[in-house]
Amino acid sequence: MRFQLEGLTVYFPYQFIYPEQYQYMLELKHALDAKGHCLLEMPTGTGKTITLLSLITSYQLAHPETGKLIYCTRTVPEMEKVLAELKELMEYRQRYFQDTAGGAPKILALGLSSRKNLCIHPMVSEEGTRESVDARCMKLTAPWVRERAGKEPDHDIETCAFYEGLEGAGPEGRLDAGVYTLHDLRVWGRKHQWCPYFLARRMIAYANVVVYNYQYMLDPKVSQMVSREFERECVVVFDEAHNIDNVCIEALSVNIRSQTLDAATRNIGSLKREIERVKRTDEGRLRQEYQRLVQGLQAQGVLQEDSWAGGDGDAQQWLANPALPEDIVREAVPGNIRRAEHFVAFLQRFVAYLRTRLAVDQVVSDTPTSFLASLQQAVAIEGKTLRFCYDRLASLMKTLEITASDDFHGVHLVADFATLVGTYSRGFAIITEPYDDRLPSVPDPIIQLSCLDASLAVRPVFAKYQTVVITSGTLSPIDLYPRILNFSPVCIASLNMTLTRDCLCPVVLTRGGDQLPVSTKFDMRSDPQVIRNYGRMLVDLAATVPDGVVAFFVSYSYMDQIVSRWNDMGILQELMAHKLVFIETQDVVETTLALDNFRRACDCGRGAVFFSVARGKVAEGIDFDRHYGRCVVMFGVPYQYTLSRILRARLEYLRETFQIKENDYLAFDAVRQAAQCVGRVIRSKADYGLMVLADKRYQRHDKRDKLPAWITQHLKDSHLNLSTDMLLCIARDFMRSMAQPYDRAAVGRSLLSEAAVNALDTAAPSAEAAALTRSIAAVRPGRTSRQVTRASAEFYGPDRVKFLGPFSGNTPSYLKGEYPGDYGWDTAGLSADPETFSRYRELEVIHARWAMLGALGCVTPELLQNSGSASFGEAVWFKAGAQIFQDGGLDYLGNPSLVHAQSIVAVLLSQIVLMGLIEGYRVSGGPAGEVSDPLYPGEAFDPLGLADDPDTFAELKVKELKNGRLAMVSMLGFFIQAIVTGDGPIKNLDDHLASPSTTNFWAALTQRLAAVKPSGRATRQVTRASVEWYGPNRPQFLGPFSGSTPSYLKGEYPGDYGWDTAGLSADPETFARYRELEVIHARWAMLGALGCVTPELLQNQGVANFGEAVWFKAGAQIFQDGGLDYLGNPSLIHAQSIVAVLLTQLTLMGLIEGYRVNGGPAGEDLDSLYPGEAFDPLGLADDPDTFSELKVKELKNGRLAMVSMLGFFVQGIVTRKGPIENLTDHLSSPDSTNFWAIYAPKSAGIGY
Amino acid sequence: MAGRAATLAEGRGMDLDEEDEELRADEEARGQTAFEREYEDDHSWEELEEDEFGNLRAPDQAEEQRARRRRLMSAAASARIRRGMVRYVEVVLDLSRAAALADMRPLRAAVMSGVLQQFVRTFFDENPLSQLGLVILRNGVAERLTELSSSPEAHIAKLRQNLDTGGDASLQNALDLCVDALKSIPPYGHREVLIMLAALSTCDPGDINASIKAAKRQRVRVSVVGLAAEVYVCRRMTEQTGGTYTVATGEGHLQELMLSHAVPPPAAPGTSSVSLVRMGFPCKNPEAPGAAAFCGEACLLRPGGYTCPKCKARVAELPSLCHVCGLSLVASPHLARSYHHLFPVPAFAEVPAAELLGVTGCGGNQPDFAPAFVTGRTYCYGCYTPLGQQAGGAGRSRGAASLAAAGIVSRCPDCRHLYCFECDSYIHEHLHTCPGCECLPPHLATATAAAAAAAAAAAPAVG
Repeated sequence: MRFQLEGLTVYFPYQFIYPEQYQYMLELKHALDAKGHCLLEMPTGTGKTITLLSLITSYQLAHPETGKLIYCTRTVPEMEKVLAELKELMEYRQRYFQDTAGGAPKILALGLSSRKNLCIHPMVSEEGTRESVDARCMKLTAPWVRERAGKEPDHDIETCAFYEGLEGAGPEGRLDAGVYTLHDLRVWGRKHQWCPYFLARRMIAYANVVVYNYQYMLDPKVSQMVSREFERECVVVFDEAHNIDNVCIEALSVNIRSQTLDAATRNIGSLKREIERVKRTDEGRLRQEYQRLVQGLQAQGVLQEDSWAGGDGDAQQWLANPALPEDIVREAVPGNIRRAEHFVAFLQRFVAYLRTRLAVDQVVSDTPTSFLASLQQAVAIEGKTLRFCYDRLASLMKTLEITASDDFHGVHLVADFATLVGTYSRGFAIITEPYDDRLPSVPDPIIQLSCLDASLAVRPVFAKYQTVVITSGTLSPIDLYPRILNFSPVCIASLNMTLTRDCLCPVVLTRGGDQLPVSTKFDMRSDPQVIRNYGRMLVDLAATVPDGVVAFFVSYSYMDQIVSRWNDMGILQELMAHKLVFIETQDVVETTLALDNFRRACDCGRGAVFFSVARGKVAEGIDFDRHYGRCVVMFGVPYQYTLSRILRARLEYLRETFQIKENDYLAFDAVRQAAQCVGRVIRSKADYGLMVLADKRYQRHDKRDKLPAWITQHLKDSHLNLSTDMLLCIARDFMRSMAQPYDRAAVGRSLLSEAAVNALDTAAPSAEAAALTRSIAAVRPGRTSRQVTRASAEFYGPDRVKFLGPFSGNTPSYLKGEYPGDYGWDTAGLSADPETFSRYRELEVIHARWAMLGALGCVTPELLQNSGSASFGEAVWFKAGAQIFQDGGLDYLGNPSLVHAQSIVAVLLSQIVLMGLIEGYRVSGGPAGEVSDPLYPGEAFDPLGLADDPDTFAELKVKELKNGRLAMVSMLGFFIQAIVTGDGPIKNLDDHLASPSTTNFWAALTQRLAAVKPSGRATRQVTRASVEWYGPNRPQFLGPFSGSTPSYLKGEYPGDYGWDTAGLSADPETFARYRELEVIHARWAMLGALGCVTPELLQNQGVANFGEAVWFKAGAQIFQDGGLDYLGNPSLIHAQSIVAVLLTQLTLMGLIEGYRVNGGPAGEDLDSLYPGEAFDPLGLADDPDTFSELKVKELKNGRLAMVSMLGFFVQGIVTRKGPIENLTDHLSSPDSTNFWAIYAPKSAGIGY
Repeated sequence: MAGRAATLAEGRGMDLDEEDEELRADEEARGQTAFEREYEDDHSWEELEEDEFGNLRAPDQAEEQRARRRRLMSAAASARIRRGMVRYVEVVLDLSRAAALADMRPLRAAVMSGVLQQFVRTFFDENPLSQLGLVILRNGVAERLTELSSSPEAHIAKLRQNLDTGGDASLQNALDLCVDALKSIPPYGHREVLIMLAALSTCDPGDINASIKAAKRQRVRVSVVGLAAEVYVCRRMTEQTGGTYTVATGEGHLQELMLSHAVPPPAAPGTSSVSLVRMGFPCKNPEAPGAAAFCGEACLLRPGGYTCPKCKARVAELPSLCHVCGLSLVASPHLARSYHHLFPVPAFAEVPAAELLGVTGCGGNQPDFAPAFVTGRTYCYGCYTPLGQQAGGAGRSRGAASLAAAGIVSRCPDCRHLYCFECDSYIHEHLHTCPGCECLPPHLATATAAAAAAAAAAAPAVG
């Protein structure tokens, strides 16, 4: 199909596209447009590869300036698969270009692999290992060999005919346009008698798509050779990249054992001999090399001359050799190793020193710095010299014309080690262990130079290429990757799988058949009862599940232990009665054999169980799709071996450098592995499989939440916390229901046809398209998490969220998305004039703020009255004002010690002070500096530090305005309700909730809400809020002078400043009650007061015309002729029908409060006052720290609102004017119209 | 009851009518009092569904009926398909260890044998010309329980005696045994193996794929009805041999799946050449009834019996093979009973409720003779049950009644009569002829018959 995706023509080789694929393309396109990196998670079996290829090649077609697509895979079969899919895509694309003049645009795509996989030389390709093929090849193709063969044809020096053929062809030696798999390359090579390996190496410079292994991009040694010449505009894709951090680390880590040192010593010996020989025969060569070295590294052949054009030369050089920071690239090799003999002697000394380091009897842990210091002390070798080892050795090997590179592995390792140690002072650890921890009796000393920082190897890639795409089926929790790899993606998304039937069945088993918990926790794993429970479960599952079952254990040693115990208990024998048992071992050949037999057992119906290990080869690369894996069991949580010193060092580094907590990282890593294991069984949408997570720890949120969204989506509540017998019931039902024939055509429901996709894009708001967006919306939420930096892209600019989503049509041209809260909607054309627009904008923001300061006062007294905690005469909000003038006055909250409002003077005073102070301050330009927007806190006045991070600040602005808009509508409802029913809102709500016949509809609605809840979760960086606002060190109400706080206020709840002079909270139960009331009141207050000031302000500005704009008269207007037009504009909200208004009001309050009170939103174990896992559309609760900070802020605002609203009423009674009028009067003539001037005559009139 | 006991004690003077009446009253009472119903079998609470608001509701009957109709329709739609009329079916019953599980009450083995007995009866009902044999899988071997024969009672009696379970199941052994037995049957016969499999794995002595290939070579159609889950090897076996593979979700489903195998399956292309099948139509024993003779292979002394027209041997019952000359002996009703598979009743079309509003009577275009209690209403031609809106209106207050009446209404395309769902399925499943069409006045009937004949002529391959 061919369709339009936001203006880009995309060619997709199938008739239908999954909604998640469409979404994936959208995200990818955004990243390409923004020329930034992106991080995308989409489950396997949804066609990730073809989606990637289809979009990026289409993008290349539309934007010729885009560079190559460099597609990195982990294995050769994957590489072949990618190329095969690309081939299909290209063939498909042809048909759309048949009638164009030039035919289809040609592309060249090829895979690149090692010589071992590409060689067609009859002798060389027979070699067993990769190293030996490389060495044999070099023997035939090294320049000096060929030179000599050319000079002395009669000496019969063997060369490679294919290589010579390619060289002989010169510029003719190239590939035609097309897609070449490795096999195709070999075929092409045979046909033309050219070497496919070197042909591929040559052609990647011209290719549009290159597919190769991770190492070619990440390993500095290889990437220097292969990936050096790629341009900056390339798009780099890392597929199946969930382990990318480990690949990066491995690329920069070196282990040295005593065998290595022995080999290195031998190598040095032969180097010496070789030098002697060359000295005798051809001393000129050595001298030449020396000269080169004197001139500096750059001039020699090892490093490329700096021929890069433009300013990005450094970045390119970086990629070429990230082990060499740029400053030393320009340096010359130090004098003491320039001469070959000196260098060899130097190496000898270094090896000797390493040998002394190996002779330890306990574990030694070092940093590179201290290692260098002791090196300097012991053998007087400088760090700077070490840095050049790798290049110096390469140069020497070249000079000596040594081709048997595989023999020199030892000395190469030592040189790698030296270079890395000399280069990096941070991000590495050197750990020397005398023996393996697990086998303490066998001495096996080892020096591990371990890279701790995954970002080191990948940094040059991010720096050099415009767009890097990291994608996999399991990247959860997705927000950790940018931190570990230290980059900032422009787009992060996790997409779900649309399924026509529930073919994924993840379950969490926490207890055995005897109800005792099962776990692989260290203290429980050897418990015979746990082992027996695990065994019984497996036997029962084997009897319930057909064909293949895969069981993953946390480690080899644990598997050995548990299997031998099962054998003793007779469980293994029982298991064998149902299915054959195969075991993965550390031996690759054995494992391959076991896998093969496992498959045969599944094929012939005998059924089999495969015991495997998380993090093993099988868990990483082997699929157990279809009948090979109907069920997968993950025994335990596959934590890394936590006593490993390298891991300890890495955790410490992560904590110090990236502020990643140890436990967070460990849990992340363990759950990532577990997800990887259980994900083995589902490889397509037609597949099905049961996934058993057998450990009580999976029940906990910190583990469960880290699972990918496409798993948690299917993790029903009834599938949690199971015991073995419950598991069997579920398994039996699942297997039966999956065996039923299913309508394959029904897959069509989760597919989009070409017409449907185009309809999506052209935003025709047809019913069909609306249904489609719903299905897309169902895919999208999962955990579409975003970095904070994403906010600016999300709510601002041309790609911001629009009021009708993709159907918003054309937004008015004057709405450019540069201000917060702009959803592109202005049907009434209010903002067409730029000046009016900015005025309105200001008004809206101010209104929204005041609204959020208001409505709590309305509901507080009534609620308290109802709950019996305080007693006022009449608790309804609109009668509270009158109480002030009664005998005894008005006690706020019925408690005279809080706010005793007997004195109207004091009340008015607080009101004027509050409003006057704040507004006056703002209008006069006081708080903000001149540079920044006067509406928002800036450098000068920002007590909460809101403006510190520009992105967070931008997001906060949007949120503020959103809340404010809600508040305006809500407050209006309050007034109308009061007029109609004569009751307060709470009374109405209670009535409403008390009579179930009326609540049914709302209950249904709320449930619906819960069903479609968009659980989008934004992720945020850690702040220190939890330390700041909670606990004993929180800020207290009088700062350092607060004295001792009451013992019952421990700072565990938000907004606790340790102040409770009246002793309201001494009783814990009352305290909890008050706390809840206060929070709810604060929330409602923030939804209110804007309605009070809006109409009046608008009236004053001449924007709109209402009869009387004062807030307390607005309600009456509804009953006048013509009704009440909101903002005087009938097209906005025309409140002529009191029924409609009431409906809105009921919906708003009933819906929200009813939902909350029913315990709907939050999970059971969470605080029911705050958003939790189940209902959190704004993603507030994702980061516990931010969340707790938000709680405090909410309460603060709410408290202010309670006081403020009270003031509004009093002011209304005294002046008979609206607050805005009072304010403008006050501001226009601060002398005459201040509190005292107004108050004096009025108070006399009242007779106070 | 006490009264009844007293009457019994009194002697034999009791009026039979009285006793009958008492029984009928008993039955009526049983029908009316819900708490007396047998709940063990139908698990009606499991059928309740929960909607998205958490309300419970009874399953939509119309939906269920539609699904059943769809099945009937597909049978009717494939009427032009050639079917194997003379079937030779080996039924394999898995009585391995897995059959001793109790996830079906009381035991899988008991449920399976119950369903199998029902299947055997229905099978001979539907395919009187066919033969069936039983094989049991137990302890890793396949035992032959009964040879291929046409006597349901013999199979059932044998089956009842052999219900011990144990050991592994071996599909390969079963397949080899069945294929061996089916190899020798004449080419017009349809060779089938039907396996009722409780086990989830098969313990084979060799490579089952070889046996599957052999079965395919012998044109044996292998079908499997599983009890627990989808087993890959069964899927492949059935796909390769052209059979079906279904898995039961419960007792009821199991029965449904098994019975679906009672209808002759479509003949695989190129299996049998159309050839003349030699059959004998023996006459009833010419001797005086009551004269005893030694009948059949077992030489049982029986009164009567049938005489083979070819060799004059006596056989006890029809249909069967003559134990002497091997001729198929059938009676003409048997042929007639097989006939309907070739000329099924046409599929009835569902009538939407809106269309029913204006109709009175049974929809046919000739005067009807309905009893007084339904005149002026729409009613089913088969059973005189009032149909559609009127019935719903009358029984709206009674929830159950209105639910029952909400069933779908269908119309015969030929005679245009309306039928309720029950009659519809009865006609298609058992009667195999539409009573409305049968009762058409002569001028209409000839028109219909001519149309049918034309249709038959258009499809000469039938048979």
